[in-house]
Amino acid sequence: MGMFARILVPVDGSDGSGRALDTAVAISEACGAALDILYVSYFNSDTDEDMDTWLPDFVAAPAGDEIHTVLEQARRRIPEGIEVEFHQRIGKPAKQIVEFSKENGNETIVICGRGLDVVRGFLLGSVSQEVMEAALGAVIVVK
Amino acid sequence: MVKEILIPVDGSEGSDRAVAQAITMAEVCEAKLNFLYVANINQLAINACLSDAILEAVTKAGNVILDRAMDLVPSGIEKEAFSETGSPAVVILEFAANNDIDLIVMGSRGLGIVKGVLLGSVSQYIVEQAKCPVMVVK
Repeated sequence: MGMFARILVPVDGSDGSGRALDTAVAISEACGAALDILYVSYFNSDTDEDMDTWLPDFVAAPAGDEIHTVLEQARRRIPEGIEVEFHQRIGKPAKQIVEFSKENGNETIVICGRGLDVVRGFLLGSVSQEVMEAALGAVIVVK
Repeated sequence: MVKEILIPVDGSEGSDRAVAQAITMAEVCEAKLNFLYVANINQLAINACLSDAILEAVTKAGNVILDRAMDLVPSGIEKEAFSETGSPAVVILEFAANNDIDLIVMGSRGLGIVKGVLLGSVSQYIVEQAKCPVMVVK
């Protein structure tokens, strides 16, 4: 059961990443795999500024809260009894996801191919695309 | 959740690895394995002079590949082999839609050198267009 020992699920709080999480949970329930939930952001609480700002919240809200919200949202979606760890990293999402999977020995990554773009052919999210190409193991792209 | 798995096979190393991973997945989920071989003979057929000998050779090649995949499946797992002709990407997607496939497992053909074209064109198209989850195996 090597390939499903630890499944990596990158989350970003979107509906798509929720569906990816549901798929990973289903696999985990079937075979007892542990889940690594990873949130990658360009900023975190270390980069937050203490100073008050005149910028609106959607521009300059503290990143630490956002990370907490997304990971908490993921936690609520995972039933009791599944072994799960939450992680966060700073940097370029695709690169961090692949690096994380290499360091932690995740043989399988479950990720959402996002269909936000209008142009056909760009339907697949660029992050999932990059992960798929760079990952060492299997990548399950959820719709 | 995953009950019907589709594995397009073409006899390549990548498709062999996809078969192996699909078997693991089927064991875990108690799913059925559907192997599909697509003979890409559309272009040849346009010439309308496809001899029976060529057709037979293509069919035979497909059967060898399908048999090899079927033989790898341990007993106790449901399996079926299908052979179709046409453009692989299109046929695979149609098959998935018409047979209530829950998951497509396929190899990525990592032959290209240029970044961004590493993924095989068929895998690429299917990952983008499929309505169900697609597992790309390295």
